[in-house]
Amino acid sequence: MAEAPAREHIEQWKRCLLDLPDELFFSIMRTYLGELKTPFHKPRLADRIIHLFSKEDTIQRTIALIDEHDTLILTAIELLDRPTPQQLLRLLHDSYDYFSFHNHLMNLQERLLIYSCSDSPLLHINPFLHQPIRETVLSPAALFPPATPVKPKTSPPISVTEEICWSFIAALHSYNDPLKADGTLKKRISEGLQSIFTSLSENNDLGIYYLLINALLKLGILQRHRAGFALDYQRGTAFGQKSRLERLFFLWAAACTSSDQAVEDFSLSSLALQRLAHIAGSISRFYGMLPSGYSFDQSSLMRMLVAAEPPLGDKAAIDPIDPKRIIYTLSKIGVLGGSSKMLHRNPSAADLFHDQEETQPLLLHPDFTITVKPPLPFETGLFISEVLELKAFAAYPQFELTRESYLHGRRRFDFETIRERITQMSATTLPQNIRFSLESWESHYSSVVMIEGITLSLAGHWDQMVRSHPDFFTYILKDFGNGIYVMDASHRRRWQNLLEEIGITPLPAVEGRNRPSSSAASTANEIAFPDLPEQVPSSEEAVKRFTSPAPSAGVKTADERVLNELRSELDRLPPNKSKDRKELEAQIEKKLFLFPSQLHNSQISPAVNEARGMNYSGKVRIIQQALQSEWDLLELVERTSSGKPLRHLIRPKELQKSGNELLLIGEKLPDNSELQVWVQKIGYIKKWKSSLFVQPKDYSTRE
Amino acid sequence: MANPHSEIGPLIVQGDNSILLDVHNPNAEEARADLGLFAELEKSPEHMHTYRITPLSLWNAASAGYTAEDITDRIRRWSRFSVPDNVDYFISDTISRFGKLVLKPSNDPNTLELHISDPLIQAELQEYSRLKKYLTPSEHGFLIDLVNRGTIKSELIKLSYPVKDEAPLKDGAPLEINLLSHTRDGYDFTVRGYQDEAARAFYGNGQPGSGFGTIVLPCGSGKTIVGLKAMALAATYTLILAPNTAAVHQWIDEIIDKTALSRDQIGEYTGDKKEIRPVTVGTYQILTWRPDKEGEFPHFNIFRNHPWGLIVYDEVHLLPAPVFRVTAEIQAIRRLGLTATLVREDGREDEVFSLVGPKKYDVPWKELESKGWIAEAICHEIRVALPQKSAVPYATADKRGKYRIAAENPVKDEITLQLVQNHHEDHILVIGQYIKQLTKVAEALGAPLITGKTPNKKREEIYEAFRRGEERVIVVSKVANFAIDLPDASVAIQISGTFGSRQEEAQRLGRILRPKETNSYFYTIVTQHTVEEQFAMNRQKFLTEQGYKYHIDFWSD
Repeated sequence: MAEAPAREHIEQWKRCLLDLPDELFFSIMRTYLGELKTPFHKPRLADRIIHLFSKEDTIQRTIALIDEHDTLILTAIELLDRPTPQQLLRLLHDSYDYFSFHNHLMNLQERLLIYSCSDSPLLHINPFLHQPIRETVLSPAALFPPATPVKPKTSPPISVTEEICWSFIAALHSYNDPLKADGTLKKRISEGLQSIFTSLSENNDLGIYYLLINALLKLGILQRHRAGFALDYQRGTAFGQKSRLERLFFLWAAACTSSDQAVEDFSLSSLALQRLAHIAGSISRFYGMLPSGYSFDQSSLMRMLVAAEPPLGDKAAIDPIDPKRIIYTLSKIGVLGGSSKMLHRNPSAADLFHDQEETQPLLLHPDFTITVKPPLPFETGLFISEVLELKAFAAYPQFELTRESYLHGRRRFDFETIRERITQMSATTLPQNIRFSLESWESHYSSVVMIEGITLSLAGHWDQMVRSHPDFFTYILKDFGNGIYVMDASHRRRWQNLLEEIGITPLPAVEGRNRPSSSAASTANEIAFPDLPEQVPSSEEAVKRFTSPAPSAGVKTADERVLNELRSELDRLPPNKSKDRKELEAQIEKKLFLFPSQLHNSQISPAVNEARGMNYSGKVRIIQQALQSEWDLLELVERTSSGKPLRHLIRPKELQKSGNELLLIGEKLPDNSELQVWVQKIGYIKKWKSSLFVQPKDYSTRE
Repeated sequence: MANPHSEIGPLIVQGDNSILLDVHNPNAEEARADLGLFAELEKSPEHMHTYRITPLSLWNAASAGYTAEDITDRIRRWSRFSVPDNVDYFISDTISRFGKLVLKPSNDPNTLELHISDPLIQAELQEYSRLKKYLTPSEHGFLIDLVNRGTIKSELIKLSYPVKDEAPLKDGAPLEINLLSHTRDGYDFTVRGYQDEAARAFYGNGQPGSGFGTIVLPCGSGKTIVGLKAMALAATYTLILAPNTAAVHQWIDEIIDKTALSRDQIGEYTGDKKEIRPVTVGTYQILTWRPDKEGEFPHFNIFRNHPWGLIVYDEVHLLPAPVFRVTAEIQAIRRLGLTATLVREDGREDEVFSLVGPKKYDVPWKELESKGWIAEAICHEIRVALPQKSAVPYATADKRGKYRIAAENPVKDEITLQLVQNHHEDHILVIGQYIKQLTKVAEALGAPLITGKTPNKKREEIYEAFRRGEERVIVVSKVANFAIDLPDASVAIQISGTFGSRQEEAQRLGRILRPKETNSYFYTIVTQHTVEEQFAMNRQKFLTEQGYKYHIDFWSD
């Protein structure tokens, strides 16, 4: 015998029953208790139902009628621990379409196996049935087909890591305007990237580049700048404050929301980051749950992901995760390995989780090449991307310190910082020829200054050459001596060309009269990176849950003996009930009856719930009834001009008259998009209850 | 994923088929020895050397008997991380191609049979129009005419099908060649261990499948001696081809100095002389001479009309394209290529592999340096300001003019004089591009000048005086680039000259790498803030990536 449920759970169920609209409440009472006598006292009736379900016989019969669909849904409810219907659907979306899912859920509610309360759409299992269901019904194997042990022969590298990100940023610095108008990369650029990131783009698939760029845009580390990109160093530094693990999950999450077809237009917002954090949290928890050494089919993985999704709570503007897209992307970027059918945790990922970062990650060679040994702090990676030129990306990325890369880095860091940081990060001493070159490049950089206005300042050796040039004087408005000139701004391009011809190349950027203050943080920087929800540690229980073999008896099916007993009773019904036979038969098959006696006491409502064909007035009547009830849904088949019928499930909103015609306006489920359809175009219509317990307004994605 | 057996392995295998060798790792030397079997050294700067696996490097390994498994085992043994899948695949796929096509003798002495183990490849080859005319289907694959032996190998490697040549080589006319234990001047002479190994690796067991190949050794390591040893092993009439007349004379001198052959057994085949003797040394230049652009190469008959049993290609990376053509005809003769680098500026490394032969031996220069077989070179770049009077002409000159003004900076002359004074005990080579500048410097130094116009005889006299120590300094123009032999030069001062190519720089440096008791110095004088700095940067990168020490200083009075 099952243990009695906690009092509070019983009280909660009772409260939810009492919250039901009268029509529904009494309909249920009549089903289970037979004809009701006035005066009606709802709490007493609820107590009778509670009493009924506290009986062992009721429990056993209810359990006996549970079939494989019930098992699947009940297991999912238990796994998700009181989910919303929407969460449940996302978990089971590849088992049911929205329509059949809704029917199954309704059926479980009508059978009082599950319930929810008017103030919350969370689905609960009937407190009297919870323990017996746990003990005899629930089957993880119904949700997660047994995993296959796998020993991956290879573990391909993962293509979205922070090392790849800052290396990629370094590579992008080499290209001016890398994008075409449609947001795709120019051919020359994509070829250049492919030659550097040889392991990233198999079969010329550029998708990974778009994922990387879009991910960095979504994190605000890169920003669109004309047809190219600019690094938001401060933002990158803020990102670097997160733990290595959190950064990784953020990057994967950003990739999972990104297009792999082109660079997207994207503006950073606090909400967008909250959404990313939610996805990152889901991936983090999913990864924590996923046992290594086993491979799973895609639907199992999607279910695990939904199961791992943290509760959204009051985060009203955050959409739930899209498991299909996340699994697709995680597979594309190599986090999940294996074939398209069976995927497993890529063992390479474990290497990314090491927290110990190299303090001296640079191997500086006298030929100006620099081997970088990851892992290293993210900000260090950004520094490298600003000051060095990427030559080849691999386990140890190969960079080079060039004059151009130094001058690029010099726009952000001063000479001392560059020299000191390179020296400090280097595991070897700075070779003399490199020290000399840095000083020489700095001399070049600091010897020419152009300030908007436009003032030109030249150091001695350049001034000597420039001052003597016969053409240069044409463009000087004022000569202050000592190499300081006011130049003709209208011919800026011409005299700049002249400077380049003389040998001052590359020219420094023109500075504004007021240098931007370093403390002036961009708007983007004010948007902080949210924290990730706590990760679910990989437990033995989780491993067991996802890897345990299916029970030898298989998933539970309905006990035919109980059904046969009811069917036999139906045959013995007196003739005055025979007109209701068809409806009673349907209700037996829907397992709405537990005891033969219920068949005698049931009261069949004569209501008509469907209309078809030429029955225009019948269709209108059903629509009007649904509109009145507020919680009824309509299933309808629309005749389209192409002749192809379209089936919809809608929440009706309004019936408008237009001329001689009536227009039905409603919200399509499950995406809540608006649907307008002329009643004369409706071929078939049927009224459905949206939920016994949940009002349509509450039938949302929120918890 | 880290390799559990080699947490601190010295190799980092990259997805682009490059392999980094951490030279400070305790296992670096063992790993290097393994790498040399199947990968080409690309760069060897101070801390991390870069090797690359290429189809040719793998086929060279396959030709030496290594399987894909041998190679991947070696990589895995030393790899710090797991080896990228694509590298594994590349190795196994590339190696699997070697040995699928084997050239063997047939029953008809005028034909060879190309054995093909894979019927799909046979079918594929039959479809190539360029090959059809050479191939006659046979029991094991195809029959080919003897004369097409080289052509077919050359064509097939272009299709990524290297041919394993197991057809026998013909013996040339016999000639006993004994190496002396003392040079003619009375110095002890022994073939060094690595030279002996190299010659034996080339010669093999004398059976089919051996007797053709290329030896890669650094400049100054004595490749000529490897050639002499190979000649002694083959004991046959030998044709030696070298890039220019000076090199021909050097070969002849070396043969006389270190073998028991007499002068009249040695012929010179150059623009000046057309001697054919049991050992003949000629230039590529004379071989590729022809009266008109469309005509035949009359001197190619030297290959065909004499009973050579061995042909030596000195500086094989410079072998001109037409010589490949005639080499394709003489595949039955033993062929030895000698070079410091397999890299050809024209990218025809596959022709060297197919027609001269795969790499049979190489040894890193650093190893030779550490054993004292070649000198340690220290490179100094000296930056000098452009004089004020040159500033205006420089600013207004076009790009070429700018380069010349910077290159001929007169301050360089003073520095050169100062450097020569500083190295008063050294033998010094001053190298430059512009004759006017060189003439001025030569006059100031009182040193002889060698330019392209200097007759060979005069050059020889100057070289000889230099070798004897009668001249301590010589000034040379671009001719210094190739194969002149200045055994005692220990200092080179480059006063002008663009960064030509990697080969050119290697050759230039090779002039000062002969083993000596003291270090060698290579000075480059560069005008600061001018276009010369860019060329200097290329040179600096090349030299440092080869592992040479490089210092830069400003010149101040």
